[in-house]
Amino acid sequence: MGDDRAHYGTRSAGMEVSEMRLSFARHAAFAAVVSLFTVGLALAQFDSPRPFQRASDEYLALLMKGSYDELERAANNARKSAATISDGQSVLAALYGGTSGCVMSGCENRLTDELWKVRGQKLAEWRKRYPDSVTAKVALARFPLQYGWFARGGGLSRTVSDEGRALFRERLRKAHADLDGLDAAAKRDPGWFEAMLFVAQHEGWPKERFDALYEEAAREHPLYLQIHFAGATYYSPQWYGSWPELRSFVERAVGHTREQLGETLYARLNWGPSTTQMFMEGQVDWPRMRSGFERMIRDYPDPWNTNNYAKFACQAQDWPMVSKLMVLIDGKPLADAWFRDLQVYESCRAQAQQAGSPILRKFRQ
Amino acid sequence: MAVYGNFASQLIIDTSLEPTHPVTIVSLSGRINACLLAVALAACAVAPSRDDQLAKDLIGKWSEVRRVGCECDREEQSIELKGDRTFQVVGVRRDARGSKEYSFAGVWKVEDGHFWYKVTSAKPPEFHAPGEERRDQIRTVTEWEWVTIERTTGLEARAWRFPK
Repeated sequence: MGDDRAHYGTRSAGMEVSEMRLSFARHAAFAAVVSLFTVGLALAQFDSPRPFQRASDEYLALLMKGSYDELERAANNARKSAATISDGQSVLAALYGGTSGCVMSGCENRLTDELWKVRGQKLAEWRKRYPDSVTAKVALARFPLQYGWFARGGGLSRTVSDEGRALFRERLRKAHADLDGLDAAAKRDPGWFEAMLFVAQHEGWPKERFDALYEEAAREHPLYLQIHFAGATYYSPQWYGSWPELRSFVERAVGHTREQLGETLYARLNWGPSTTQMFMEGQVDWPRMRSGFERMIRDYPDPWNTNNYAKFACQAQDWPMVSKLMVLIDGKPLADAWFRDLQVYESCRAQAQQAGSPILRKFRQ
Repeated sequence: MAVYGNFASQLIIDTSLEPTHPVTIVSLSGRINACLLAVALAACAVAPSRDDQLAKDLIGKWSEVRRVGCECDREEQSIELKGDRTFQVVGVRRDARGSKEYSFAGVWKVEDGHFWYKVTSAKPPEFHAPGEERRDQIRTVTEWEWVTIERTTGLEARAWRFPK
């Protein structure tokens, strides 16, 4: 039974420690409130729902600040660890996207021509400051490609002005020459391959020549997803391919990464050129895409991935899966993932509910 | 004040638990809290309102690209918000036919978390005419980004700050 006083004493000491911890926590909370009063609402630097946009904006801010040492550190760390951002894409790809631009890959552009020129000057300064940096060399060489796409605009060919088309061609030529002129080390960099594949696409290289470049890139950097995205764009029906050719390319690309990523790349590559009827028309195998998304949200449970998974599950009319994902979305959908239209999300949710998922019923209770 | 109220009740609980050690803790705790409260009250007395703070944060030069009409037409504009609450916008509108430059100027303010502006002069007046007014909800203003929710579409519009 023991000594009651000793027991009480121990208990008392324990309470004292926990009270002190509580007291400390409350002090911390109170101090945080005070700091909010004094410095205003503390906000995250960037809050785009798209992880790639968020990450690339961080690197654009570093470039604009002239924080080249930080960019160098970030690039070196990214290379050493093959680091990924929260949605599973490469940190290095986001760094290149932020510094040399990523409008060709669907990033939102907020820069006017004046700021694009500033961006070019900063890239040149970075390269001058770090003459041996592969990242700085590649980022500067890639820049005209993105700057050219900015001048062209992302619309269909018939919507491009003569002025925009001429500027794009001129800058595309410069990017090709600059990328060609880099040293051997830079030409082995994944960012170099990504940019050169874009050049190949826009110069309309024949398939054999394009494939040779893609295969080399995919062998050297299978996990740098932008290389595969560039290939899928080239083989899409809108460019030089067709649905059967795209399917065949996707199989090839998934073969390069299956060991490390399973079916993840299958999901990602069908995500880009998706159409609302792609499952019904048999262009894409939903069970495989679902398996890829399952792995993706297990490894990278960013809401962006979850919302997009739910959107595709809805298109495939996989209502039990939609219901399951609605629980994860927790009533906080990302409009950007739902074609910037939350009515699409509501419609999917309603249809899943009507399908009578027990999981959703439990969630609603 | 609600937070401090919780601390007050904590003081009473502490003193009832232990007669010796906790008194020391309470005494220290009370002093820290009193100091923090004094800092908070002082800060409240001088802290600008949220609107004032937003207006202060907005002063500077911003870059914005907006889609207009069909998805392929766009306006690129540099927006300079001045401390005297006047602004100047220099822009270019691009479409399949080419590009056309424009500029407009006016007055601005932040009111109830909304950015309001009125155009007082414009050249040429076809894109933004004198008398035009808009009021959009401000979502965030950070070191680099200014995000508003457009009243007409409910969508976010993002501008990027020019490097200082």
